[in-house]
Amino acid sequence: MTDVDVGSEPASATFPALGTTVTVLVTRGPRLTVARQALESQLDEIDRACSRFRSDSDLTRVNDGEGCRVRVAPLLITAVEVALRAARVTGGDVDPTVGEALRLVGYDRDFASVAREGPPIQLRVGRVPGWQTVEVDRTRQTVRVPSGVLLDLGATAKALAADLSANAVHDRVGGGVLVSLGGDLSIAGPPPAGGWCVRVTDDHAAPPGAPGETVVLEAGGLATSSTTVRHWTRGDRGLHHIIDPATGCSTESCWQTVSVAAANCVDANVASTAAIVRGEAAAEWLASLQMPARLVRRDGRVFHVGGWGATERL
Amino acid sequence: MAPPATNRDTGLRRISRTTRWLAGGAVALMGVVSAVAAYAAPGKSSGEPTTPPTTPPTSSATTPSNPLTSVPDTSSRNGGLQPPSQPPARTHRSPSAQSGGT
Repeated sequence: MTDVDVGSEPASATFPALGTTVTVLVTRGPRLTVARQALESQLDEIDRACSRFRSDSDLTRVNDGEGCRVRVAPLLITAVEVALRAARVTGGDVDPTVGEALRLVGYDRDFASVAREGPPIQLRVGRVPGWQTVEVDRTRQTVRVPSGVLLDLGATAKALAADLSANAVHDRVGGGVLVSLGGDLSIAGPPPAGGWCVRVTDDHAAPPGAPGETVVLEAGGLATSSTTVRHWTRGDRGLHHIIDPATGCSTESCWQTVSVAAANCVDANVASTAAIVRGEAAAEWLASLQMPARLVRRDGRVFHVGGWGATERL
Repeated sequence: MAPPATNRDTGLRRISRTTRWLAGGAVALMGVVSAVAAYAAPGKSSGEPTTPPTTPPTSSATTPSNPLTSVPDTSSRNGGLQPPSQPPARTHRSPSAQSGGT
């Protein structure tokens, strides 16, 4: 049984960051301003380390490194290690070397600036370079990728940011904390009485009446990966941001949305992203890992595995 | 019976041969172990030049302060991905947060 925080009324703040909507909830309501400051500080640090679109980020310097080892901040070392672990535990289904493939399918700038429609483009089908080409040296604080290989940490860095932020806010204000970065959500500290109620939908910004379901969480992380939101068309071809490392193109999955709960947001995100890439095999894979998940087919049918929603809380 | 000097030379040759085999075997074994280690743990250093950082990585806030700033243990069960302590439970209460694609 998880302890609960009944100290005061929960409070929340929502603001834009990292190209998405950020929400922080704290059980110690009067400490909300301090919580937001801690969160903004952590997110700024993540952005400076991991953004693919900032010319001054550590990640951009690695991608522009022409095959040389590049000295970076410890946070990027951690983020790359997390990305490499994601690749390892998914058999390469979640691979950080998809940066060039993302650029070629049209996601070459901050998504707000990507044209939602455009003329046909020539897609290049082929396996991405592969996570094994990435070299990390924690002792020397360096990262190296071969010339021409571009890292994209989008799949895991946002989830890592959620986990780090929730812990950072909890360290500053105590009590229970929930941080949501778009679809990626992390919990730290004791939850409020009754747990944290979270609406799970295709789109993190969907209105209240949108299809979905509400669940209670008390700890850990929850992540949702979807092909329906970060989506654009070139000619008559629909494209999105989840790249299949085997083809270097947007996945053509039977699932449009997968939500996974895990011990932390990184693991939830790795599982949900890999599930989209794996397609039909995903449900059995998630069940074998005992990962509770909600999978939505492209025709809207919903499937639950791993005990997701098996019980009800009043 | 061979003279003592001949016996000594024969013994020295045997020792020399054994030493060479041991040295060769050690080098080969080291190669195998290195290859396995390099495959299992990417992050090897190379002799190539390091580009200097444009900004020194001095932020103290990036110092690991909780378990997630280091890579989670990949040798744990479930291939490294950890399920939650409790699965999400259904409810009809009003949500205070939303998870969806972004």
